[in-house]
Amino acid sequence: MKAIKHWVAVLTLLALSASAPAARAAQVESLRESGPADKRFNIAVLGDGYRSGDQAKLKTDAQGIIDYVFGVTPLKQYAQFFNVKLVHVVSNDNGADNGTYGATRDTALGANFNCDGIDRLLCVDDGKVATAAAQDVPEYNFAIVIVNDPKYGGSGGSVCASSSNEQSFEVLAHEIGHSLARLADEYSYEGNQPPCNQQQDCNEANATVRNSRDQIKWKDWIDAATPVPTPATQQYGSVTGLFEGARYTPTGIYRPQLNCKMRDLGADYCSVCTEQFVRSIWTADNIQMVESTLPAQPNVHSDTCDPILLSVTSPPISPSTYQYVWTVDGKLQMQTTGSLSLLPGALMQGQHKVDVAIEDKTAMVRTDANGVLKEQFSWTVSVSKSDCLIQGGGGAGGAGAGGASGSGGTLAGGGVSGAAGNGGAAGASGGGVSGGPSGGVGGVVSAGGAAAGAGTRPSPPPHDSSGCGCSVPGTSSQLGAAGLGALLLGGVLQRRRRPATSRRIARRR
Amino acid sequence: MLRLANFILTLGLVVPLFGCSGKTEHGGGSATGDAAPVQKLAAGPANVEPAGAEPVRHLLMVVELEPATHVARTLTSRSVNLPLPRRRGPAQQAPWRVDVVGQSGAVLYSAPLQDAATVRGEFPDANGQLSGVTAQKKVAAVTLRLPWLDGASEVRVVKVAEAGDLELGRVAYPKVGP
Repeated sequence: MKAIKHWVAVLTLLALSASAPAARAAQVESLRESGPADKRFNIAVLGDGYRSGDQAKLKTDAQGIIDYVFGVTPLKQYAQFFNVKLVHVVSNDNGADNGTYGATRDTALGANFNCDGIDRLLCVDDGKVATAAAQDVPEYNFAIVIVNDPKYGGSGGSVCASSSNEQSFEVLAHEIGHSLARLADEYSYEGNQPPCNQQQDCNEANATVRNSRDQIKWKDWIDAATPVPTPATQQYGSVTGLFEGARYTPTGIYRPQLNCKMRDLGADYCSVCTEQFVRSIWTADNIQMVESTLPAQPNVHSDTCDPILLSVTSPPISPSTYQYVWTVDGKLQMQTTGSLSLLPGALMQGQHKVDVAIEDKTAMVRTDANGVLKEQFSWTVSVSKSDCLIQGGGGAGGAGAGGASGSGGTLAGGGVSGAAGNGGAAGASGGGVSGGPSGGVGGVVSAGGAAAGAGTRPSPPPHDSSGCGCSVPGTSSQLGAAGLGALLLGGVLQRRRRPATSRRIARRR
Repeated sequence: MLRLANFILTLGLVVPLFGCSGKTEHGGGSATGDAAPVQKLAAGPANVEPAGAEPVRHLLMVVELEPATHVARTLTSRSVNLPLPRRRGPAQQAPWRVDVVGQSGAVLYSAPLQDAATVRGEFPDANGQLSGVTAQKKVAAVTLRLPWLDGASEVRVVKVAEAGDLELGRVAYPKVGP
């Protein structure tokens, strides 16, 4: 009986399997691999009108279009938030219907010019595109189709299509502004988008019906000397203001700049569109500011005297505009990178709260009303040993010969030491101090980036809150003189409490 | 021996059904993917809490719709070895929405959807200045990423409107779970 049931189940599965579409898998290659699929925005690029012999051309065309798009600010800076895969869909014919090679072409994704009677409007069969992408790049969040036809044309919507004509690349960059950043068109011609709501204003970040300065959604970008509304003259050709004409309407709706990619091909995205693009990247599918943490769980228990390394990983921005602010039991730490090392001996027995606040401080964003450029993560660190010696502070300083103010080390008590040791910058203040005492003997300050001695110091007693193992409050990590003063203060604090055993060890050395 | 043969045969049928072939998942990564930039902890504490069991699969469907006639059909559906995509920030506003409906008619899951029927064309003049056109596709296709849900029976796509949602089409929720 069991065997019969089993075979019924197997046959049911077989029947279901047979009813599934039998699309043929295509060859897939990565054009840009920045990280795991569940932590990146995944773009699938599919070719249409590329025969088997045209697949090398597809690779070249696709690479060209992707390089172009990721050369545009701000995608350039945030390129590592994206994965891109190319699906080598093979067509029987080249080109597209009504294109360069004839009215009817047998292509895999049904590309056709003259879509809806508009000669340059290039449409594809969205169902075929989505099915192919789902089969071959199941993680895809966005699809782009490149059509192997030199005729100029393209389209945007749930799928972006572009012909292989290089002029079409710029249209694609514009379309991505719609699709990813939800930007409005800023031109004032045809188009049948619903009008902006006069009470609630336009939905898009780059269009407004408001013309009084304090109500303009991009007011943070408008200099006080710029008139509002702003005359459309070359005098104001590169400033952010309030220019009339946007969203298919020549009057009554305003845009931020005279020229912008959302109005003129070949122009950059204006400041306000760039800002919105960055905010949109931070709210795109899969993008997390805290991608992973070490330890992964928020509760950490230490029952040894080994250093406790805490770290957060965020998607890379190039150049990095991240700011990390660490606090231990509410006290600000000097460490400004994504990792922090704690010494159980200096932390003291008991529970401690460690927070890291991460922020993308890019100058491309001035307004972040929803706080999408910020994130926070907390650990509760429980230290069970009470007899740990403080060890190995010297490693924190590292590098930075002649450095001014290494931010690697931390202050006072050596409870926290910079994990990586940023080393000192050029020695503006001469000699400088690099690294912190970080548990070195009596708060040894290492000059010029030389490694501090690895001393030992017993933990302060559990109730001695002054010993702490936390840093001296203050934000002097990158201030040369202040940093030095704080470091010396740390040394003083440590020396004051150094017990006899520690003194003996230090003397021997 | 017979049981073993049955087991192997069953595996052979089930695995391709869920799209777990190396081809389609190639490079796709997963929640436990090996491409993650994981930092090693040199020496340190043990975590006292085990890692949470995050669902690592979701349902991917491609549904074709004819908004004018409310006809809908499933073009493909499969399980994907990744968690449902997450978004930071405020709730997204979108002109369409997908609902997963249970046998009782209750909505078990909803997510915003972009309008998949509108296609835009934008073309520059000799000076690079754009003008645009929009067209409505008679047949649209939506890609849906949904959780695997017990008791789900239908997937419904609606157009969101202040006067009341307009149903664009509905299809059966796939019977085969992960």
